Amino acid sequence: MKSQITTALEAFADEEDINTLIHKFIVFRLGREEYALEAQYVNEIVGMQHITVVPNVQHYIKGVINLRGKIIPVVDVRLRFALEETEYNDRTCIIITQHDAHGATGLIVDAVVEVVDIDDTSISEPPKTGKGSQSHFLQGMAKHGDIVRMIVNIGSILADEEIVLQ
Amino acid sequence: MESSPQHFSTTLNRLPDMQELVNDFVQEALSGLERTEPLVESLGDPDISTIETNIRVLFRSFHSMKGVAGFLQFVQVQDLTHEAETLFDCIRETPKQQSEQTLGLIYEAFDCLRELIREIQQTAAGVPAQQDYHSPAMCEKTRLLIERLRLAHGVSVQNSPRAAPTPHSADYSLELTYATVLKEHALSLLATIQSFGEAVPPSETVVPTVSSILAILNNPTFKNLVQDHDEARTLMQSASVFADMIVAGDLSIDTAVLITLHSQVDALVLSLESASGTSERIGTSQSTSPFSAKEEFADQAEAHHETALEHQRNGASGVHGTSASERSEIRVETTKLDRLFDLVGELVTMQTMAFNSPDIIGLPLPQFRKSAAMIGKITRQLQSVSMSMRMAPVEVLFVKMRRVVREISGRVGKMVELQMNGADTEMDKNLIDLMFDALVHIIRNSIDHGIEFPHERKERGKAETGTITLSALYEGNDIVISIRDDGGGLDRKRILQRASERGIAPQNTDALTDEDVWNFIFEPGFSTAEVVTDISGRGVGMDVVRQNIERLRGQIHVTSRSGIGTTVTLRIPLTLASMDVMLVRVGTARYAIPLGSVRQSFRPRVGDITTTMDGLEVVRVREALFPVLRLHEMFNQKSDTTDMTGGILVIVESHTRKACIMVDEVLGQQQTVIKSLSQYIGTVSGLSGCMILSDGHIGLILDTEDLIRQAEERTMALAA
Repeated sequence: MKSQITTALEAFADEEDINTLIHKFIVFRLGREEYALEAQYVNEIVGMQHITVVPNVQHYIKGVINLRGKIIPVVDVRLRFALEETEYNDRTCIIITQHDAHGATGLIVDAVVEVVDIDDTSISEPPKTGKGSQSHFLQGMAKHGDIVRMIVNIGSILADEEIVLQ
Repeated sequence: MESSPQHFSTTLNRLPDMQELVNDFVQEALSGLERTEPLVESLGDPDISTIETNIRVLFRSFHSMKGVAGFLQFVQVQDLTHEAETLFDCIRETPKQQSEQTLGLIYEAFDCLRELIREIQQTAAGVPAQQDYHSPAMCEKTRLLIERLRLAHGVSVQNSPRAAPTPHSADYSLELTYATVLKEHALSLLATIQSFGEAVPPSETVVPTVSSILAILNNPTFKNLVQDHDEARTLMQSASVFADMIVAGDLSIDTAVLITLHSQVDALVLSLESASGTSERIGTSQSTSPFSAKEEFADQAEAHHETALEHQRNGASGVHGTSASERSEIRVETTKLDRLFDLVGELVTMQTMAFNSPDIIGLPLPQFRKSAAMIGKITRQLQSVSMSMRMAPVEVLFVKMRRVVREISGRVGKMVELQMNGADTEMDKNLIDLMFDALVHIIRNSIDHGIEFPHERKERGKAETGTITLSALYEGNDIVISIRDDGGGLDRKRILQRASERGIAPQNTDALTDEDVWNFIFEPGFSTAEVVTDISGRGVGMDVVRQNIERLRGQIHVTSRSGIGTTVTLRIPLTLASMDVMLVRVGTARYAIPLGSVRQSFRPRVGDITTTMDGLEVVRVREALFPVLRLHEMFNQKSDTTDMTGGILVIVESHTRKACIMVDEVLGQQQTVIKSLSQYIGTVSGLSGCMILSDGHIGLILDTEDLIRQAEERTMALAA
């Protein structure tokens, strides 16, 4: 009985650590830049799939894929960030995310680089005056040695704010 | 010791699973109300034995609700169920045909309970362990209803010649029920704990049972019992010790305590048995081996069950079958059923994919083909079983209409009888629930506008009592429900007059067929009622009904003959989960058109096509002209050809409006499971969802109604 409780407490303490100090991130690449997405939103990463084009939707929604019987909409993050569109190749990945407000969605990125732990203290505010209006997709900048990774905000990537602007 | 029941309820508020208990109560209570409400109607039946059977079921249902409500401290529900129960008890003591007023009152109790429970559900979802579950208005409403119920059973006791029932016999049989249920709980608790051996069982496995036990101990009836029974008092004592242990979080329960508890329950059962003088054999001795006792209990439960079934078979003309056997049923969340159905659908798709895999094409593989055929057969069976699990007889829906008919006809002063045909026809349970409002609305209209007043009927040589016939039957993959009345029929002149007032009728109304005229009643805001009654005539009627039916992919039709009556026919797919579609191809994309709306497909000849100077394309089929929708343009999809004569035109229809959809090729027909285009994408203009094709790709399902509307809008825009 004692041991059970102790184990439970230890597990709890471990969880506490994760929640307060270090977060896991999935690092992906678009062109030369590296971006980081909090791993808690990521279900899995799959290679390029056959995409069924859905008409009359936002241009960055490429369509839907059939992931083991589930219909998952896919967003081309390049198009979303107003970057140049490129051909998909065998390094192209779809990051399957799960978000409370938007459900399961796939993010098409050039490549997934690695999974990293990022310490809260190494994250700084995103630049206030970004080029154009794209910087609202960022929620912070993480310095790691020489590299700076942009931490993306999944909520604003998926949010349909164009409609509000128009 | 006197204060112990109080003690239980306060300590239990600290139990972690309170929320879950409340949820269970809400579900249990709502489904109980749902199940028993149809029985109320039979209390107005002249047949005493029917009343006797059904009142018992009602009584039991309310009694158990009262018990749990008391335990969870839902005072309003407890008080209301208590009064209703007392009324039921009076009826049970002296069964006789009940008056309209009494039935109305009982229905009000059902309605009020439902509202109270919904409030509990809402409050519980937000704030845990809150005391004020109910709004002051609701409390007041409940209080008034309780007053009236008190008055009602007061009256019926006074009126009854065989008043002053022997309270003891009734009470004891009840307490006996309690004690046996208690025994069951004690046994299951014991079994749970023993199954964990030396280990400590996790609290979630024990707490629900303990709570149930406490619910019974805390029940008012049981509290009375405690006062004059030694056995009950001992039981109460050990249970309180036991509860304290659980509450204190000490789950290392000594099995000995439980065995004591169990034997004490046994003793109580015995003692009650002898007190009530019943010959029923319930637990013969203080069995120290819990498992033999368990078998005994099972036997006895079996017997009870048989009796219950017997009761249901004997009485309840017209209502049997709604609450089939209690024991062979198991409640499953509909979302789980839906998930199962989805999974089976996926299985079917994947199986087709696997068996048609390019890897094995052309290979002989005789053994494989044999097994594949077997798998195919099993999956099809699996699919039909998973489909049938969602089915319920439309009787549950029809029976509810009795109340509607009785109330509305009473209010407007007409005499109406309700007849039912094909009530055993089954359809998707989800659909049944969605059909309720539509049916109520149509019946209201029938009674209010269709059926004449008794004196009018007499003058016309009809029976004074009008008849509404509800029938259900299968037609292909659809279920057809019709509501027929033998009233005066629709008034062509008045409908046309009303239609021209609203500016929806054409100039020359003589050319309109009756069907065209009847269709006006489905226009928004259309009502011919001269006086707006509280029943119908507000003009928010049939258009909403039609919308709702169409949302279920159904159709609604009206036929009517002056002086003879009106029939409203609803045609609904058996299930929303699957649908027959025609697969078409445009370039590399594949689309599905619901087969129900496809009328014809053909390759047009040059002479059939007319292009107006505005660029609007119209195709002539025999004598009719249809606007053409080029799917490749609408969906921005590259197609094989832009020349219409090189493609195929599919004529689609959605309530009498037609259009042609131009595609490259028709691929065939199939039954499919409909999926939504995901939460993120939501609804897309022109599409109603998507499906997984046999090669694993996704096909988009066209929303023909929306497409036709778009075609019409374009025509109008060009014309303007």
